[in-house]
Amino acid sequence: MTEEQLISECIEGNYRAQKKLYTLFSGKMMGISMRYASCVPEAEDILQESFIKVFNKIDTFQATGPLGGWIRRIVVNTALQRIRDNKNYRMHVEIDASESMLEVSDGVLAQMGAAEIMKKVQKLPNGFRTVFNLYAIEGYTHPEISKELGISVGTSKSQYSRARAILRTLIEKEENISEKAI
Amino acid sequence: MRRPYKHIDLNDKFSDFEHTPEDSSWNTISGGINSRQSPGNLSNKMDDLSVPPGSSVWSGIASQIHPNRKKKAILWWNYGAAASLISAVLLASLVFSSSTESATAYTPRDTSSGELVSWDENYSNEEEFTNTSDNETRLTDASEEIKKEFQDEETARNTSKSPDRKTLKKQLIANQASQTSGDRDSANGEVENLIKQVIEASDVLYSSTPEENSPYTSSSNSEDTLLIFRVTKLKLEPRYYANYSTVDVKDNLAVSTFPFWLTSEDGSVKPNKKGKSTSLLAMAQLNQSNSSTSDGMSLLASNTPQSFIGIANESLSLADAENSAVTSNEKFSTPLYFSLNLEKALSIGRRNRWSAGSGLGYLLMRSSTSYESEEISSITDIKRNYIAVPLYLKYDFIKKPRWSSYASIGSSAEFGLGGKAETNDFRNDELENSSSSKFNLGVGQFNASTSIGFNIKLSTHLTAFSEASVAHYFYQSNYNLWSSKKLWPGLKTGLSLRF
Repeated sequence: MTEEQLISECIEGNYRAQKKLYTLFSGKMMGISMRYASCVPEAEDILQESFIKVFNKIDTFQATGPLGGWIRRIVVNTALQRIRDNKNYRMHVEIDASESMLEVSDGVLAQMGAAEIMKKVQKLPNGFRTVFNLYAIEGYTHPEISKELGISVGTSKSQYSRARAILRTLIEKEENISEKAI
Repeated sequence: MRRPYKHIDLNDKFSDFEHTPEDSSWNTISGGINSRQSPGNLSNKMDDLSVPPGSSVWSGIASQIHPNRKKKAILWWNYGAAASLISAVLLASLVFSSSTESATAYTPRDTSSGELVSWDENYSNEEEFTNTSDNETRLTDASEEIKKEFQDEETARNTSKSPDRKTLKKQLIANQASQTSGDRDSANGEVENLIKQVIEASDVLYSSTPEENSPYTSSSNSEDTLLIFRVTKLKLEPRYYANYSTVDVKDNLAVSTFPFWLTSEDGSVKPNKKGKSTSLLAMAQLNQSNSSTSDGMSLLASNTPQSFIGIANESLSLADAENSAVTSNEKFSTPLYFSLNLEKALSIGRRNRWSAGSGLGYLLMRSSTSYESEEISSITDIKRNYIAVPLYLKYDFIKKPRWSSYASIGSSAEFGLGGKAETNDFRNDELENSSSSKFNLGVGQFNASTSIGFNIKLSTHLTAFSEASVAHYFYQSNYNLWSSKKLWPGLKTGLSLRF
């Protein structure tokens, strides 16, 4: 079954086709959800909400780009919407933005595996994690992030800087534990 | 006067100067380069990460986009579970309670004319009772061992010339008349008349006078007289026919259909070599002592102080009534089993669906035999009790938090506790006689079985289970109705501690 056929049957509400589409993309989309969530259940909530939107709006999908990219945007937008709805998000932004620390180097991040980075990213406070994801992974600019999250550009930059600093702390802490263990 | 400053061209001096930087310098530079490219690289790396979500995610999605389908699925599981449970119970209680050799009817025949009753097709000629050409009463049987016993007996008896049938009948009548006269008022001529009728109406094939006992009567009953005559053929297991004999209440006369050649020395009754059907003979025992005789005959004599007329009597009363049927019926209820088990979950697969267990159980096997004619009927209920030690391997093919459905295979050693037979005799639908007896089940039995059933979780470790099973027995120390079946059904219930 081609992607076009799969989409066509999903539009018709074919249960098997919908499940097949879910099976095809759920793994990667779960990986994206987890970057915006602090735990697996929260990521699963994002994923579930995202795919419900996917199946309800799949008839609006324009085949100008890959289906995976379209679903990915829905997942990211769903995650951002949840973050915007989360009252705790702003509190973290205001409190932590004033501090400054040494940041993790890109070289260190480059040496780490995806799963390892994921674990560290999930430990970041909501606001820091979101800005880090959007800037470092999704490729948003700080003005775009400020618009998306309704924060200032300066806040976005400081959040990103702060996220890298916390990541550095987390990595160093883990290395110290490893060295002590050795 | 100052010396004029001679200008040194530093550019020229350092133009050829070289200094090799430390290695760390490039790291710093490369870090700066990477920094500009990092978002893209990190993005690619993270996009390749795939994390399988839990199964509940799809369930949640499906319930939103197909709400009706979700309801159907829930109903299906509920109905499926309920239907499986009910069908398992019904299968066990209905199918397995049906008659094994259901409602075998036969028509007694008067064989005094010498005409042989047609034998079961399954039997070869050598298994038949035959009269020898010289009119000598003789028993032949497929069982060489038993036949030899009879031949030895007969040889001993026939050191002189064997009497012919008519002579034998006369001797028996005369003998019984002399024995029953005088000291037993209860007989009062009635028994003698009855015996006469039996002998006259039947084709006596074998007799043992008090001086010529068969190997199946003990010395303590040396006064007993045994008559064997053919009544009909039946397709029922032999043991139960012993219970059909308790029909009439006449002193000192026992008559029963009983395949005496199947009686073993230890008193147990074995199936014939076909393992299923047997052609029966009627056996009349003239019991002088009212005490139990040995072996198979003890089943006759152990009932009531009164003796028996039984089927032979029936055959007499029905001898002239062609097409009159005497119906025999055997039923066995589903074996009931209750056990307390210990189970250990096995680390096979992701969801720990496998487990192994053992325990201690109680097995009750019940069967019922009935014999009905127009006037007389007899019903015997038999219970067998066993202690069982099962060993099994179980797989949960449906595993829910509160319940599971499983299939299992295993084996069980079952040790006999004892058996009990209760017989009620009726005449014209009125209870005429009741009796009960206990019997030994021997060492026990051993089987391999497979089951399908349900677990219901009562607490973290305690579950109640119910299952329908089918077992094949490799060994049975006590022959019974079930012995002729390759597969035994059963209904098992109990409690399991799972850890």
